[in-house]
Amino acid sequence: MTEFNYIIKDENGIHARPAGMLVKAAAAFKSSVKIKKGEKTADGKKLFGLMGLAVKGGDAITVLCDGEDENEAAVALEKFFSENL
Amino acid sequence: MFGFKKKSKEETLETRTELVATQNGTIEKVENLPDPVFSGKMLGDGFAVVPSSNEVLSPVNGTIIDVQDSLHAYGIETPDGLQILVHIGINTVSLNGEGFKAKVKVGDKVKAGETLAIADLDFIKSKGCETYTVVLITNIDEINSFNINYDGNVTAGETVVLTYEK
Repeated sequence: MTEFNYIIKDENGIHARPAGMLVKAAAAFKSSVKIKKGEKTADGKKLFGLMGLAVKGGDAITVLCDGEDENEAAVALEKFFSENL
Repeated sequence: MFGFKKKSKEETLETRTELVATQNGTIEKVENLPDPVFSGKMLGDGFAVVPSSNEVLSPVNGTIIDVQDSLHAYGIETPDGLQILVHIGINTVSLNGEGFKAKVKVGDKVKAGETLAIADLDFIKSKGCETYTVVLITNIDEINSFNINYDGNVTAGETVVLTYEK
């Protein structure tokens, strides 16, 4: 398991557009990708799971990658978050 | 009959392999939308309504699986497992709910043609946002084929815009 923390900078948070982009980014890896906000966790490869987390600007999230390519996934997703959210 | 409407909603919803228009208006291809995430089909495939009416109706029978806090986007799961996104306007997340009234909540069962939300199209336009309602099958891999009728004017809740085969 590889994980990283991130604080959302985009004030609109993870709404439909970035959720769709994130699903696509996560789907490129074999590892499972989970997004955790507080007590709630969503599958980073499922659009409505992500949108249902209602992540807003300023929220702290943890991204957990688990699987054979978890390190590559975490690096790529950390880059995705810093560029898009 | 109408007195039993609430009870009938608790019954198993019938699968209709079609999506109806969410509003009165015309139909535009998602490829032509001014947002690369929609035109690039990153969120799924479907159609956009160029709306002339404020009441946004469900395109399908199903269960509400998401209502965004900003009230501009709704997720509906059909009885056969399709997850439909109804996204009202482009960049309307930035309005923070202003101009929208939600008529459903997560867990509600809706029938095609029932109201999801009321959108104030004039207000949305006044804020510089496009008013397209984008209707997408987000898990498009679940279906074998679909067909969209782009012709003419559509009537909210009545005109079948998209038919699919699983």
